[in-house]
Amino acid sequence: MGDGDLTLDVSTEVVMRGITLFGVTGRRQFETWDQTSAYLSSGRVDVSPILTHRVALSDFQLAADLAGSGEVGKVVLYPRDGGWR
Amino acid sequence: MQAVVKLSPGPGAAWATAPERQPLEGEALLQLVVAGICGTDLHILKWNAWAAARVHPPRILGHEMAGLVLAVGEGVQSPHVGDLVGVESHLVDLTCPQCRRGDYQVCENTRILGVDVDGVFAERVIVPARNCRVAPPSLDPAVVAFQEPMGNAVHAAAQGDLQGQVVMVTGCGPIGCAAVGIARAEGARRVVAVDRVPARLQIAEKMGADALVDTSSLPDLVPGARRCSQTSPGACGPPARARPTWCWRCPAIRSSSRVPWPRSAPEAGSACWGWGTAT
Repeated sequence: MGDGDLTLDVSTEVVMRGITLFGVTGRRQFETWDQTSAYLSSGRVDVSPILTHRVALSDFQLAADLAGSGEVGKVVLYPRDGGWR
Repeated sequence: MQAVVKLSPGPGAAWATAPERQPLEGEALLQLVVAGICGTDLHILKWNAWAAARVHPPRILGHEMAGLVLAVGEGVQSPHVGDLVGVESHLVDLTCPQCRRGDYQVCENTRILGVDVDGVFAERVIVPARNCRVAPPSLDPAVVAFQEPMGNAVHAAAQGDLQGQVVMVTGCGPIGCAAVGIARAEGARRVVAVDRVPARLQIAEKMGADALVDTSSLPDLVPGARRCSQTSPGACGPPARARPTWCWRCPAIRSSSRVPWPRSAPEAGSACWGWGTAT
């Protein structure tokens, strides 16, 4: 989450251009989840290019360094025993 | 069990032993299959001003996960033992005015996994059963976990109709890149991706962006993005340096446009995007 203030000239940047700004936080519970899983399971959206790095959970500092570099997509972490068949 | 624990206020975290318990009424016990790391986790690891004010150690970090249900508490109808689930990270009170009208995402007492309560960077995790979403079969568990951040972009896209629009995404982190793919799927006429890191723009291109704007090599986002909204990928980029900017300041996002506005600034690498009619 970003810190600090943002300067916004409401009259020039928003009102006179007829723009709508709206806040988005989290996901609708649970309509958004249904929509998201539909995009993924239908193949309409393939997110595999975003998942660029897979590391061990105990290497969380490496994961943080990778993610913090800003040069990668999503970094995911696996426990030693993933429990997945 | 072992977990990533912020043991005391200050930077860093430890790979430490954490206590375990059985799920209580309404809870599910999950075995972690895969977790995702997010900007929020980085803020807590670095211990910025926001984290210092909000997080009270000891705290297990992390809020994006897919897990296998090991056990459920009393009264739980779903999920079932053995299900693979994704997890909604926001724990809501169900009683505030927002929750009572179904707007759980703006609950005034939201507690977030890995921030306000113990999170998911642990071998086993307990969450409210309500927050578990059984995964569609055959999805990669890493994709199941990615539904949480992707949901932010889906939520934003649901605010309007993207069909035939020109969509600009500024900030091509994982959520911004998901936004590119969603805009493509929803029939956007052009999708313009903006970032200052070439590697992230390459991901946006794989997700279907028509035009890439590298702000590290542009004197100003505005003319480059305006041109990109009309021309082909690779057509923009005179050298010089520019600050990242908010997408609504770009003329490609024109009158009557709609701009989802997340809390983060583009400087933090997160997505701001908008759509509308381009010149």
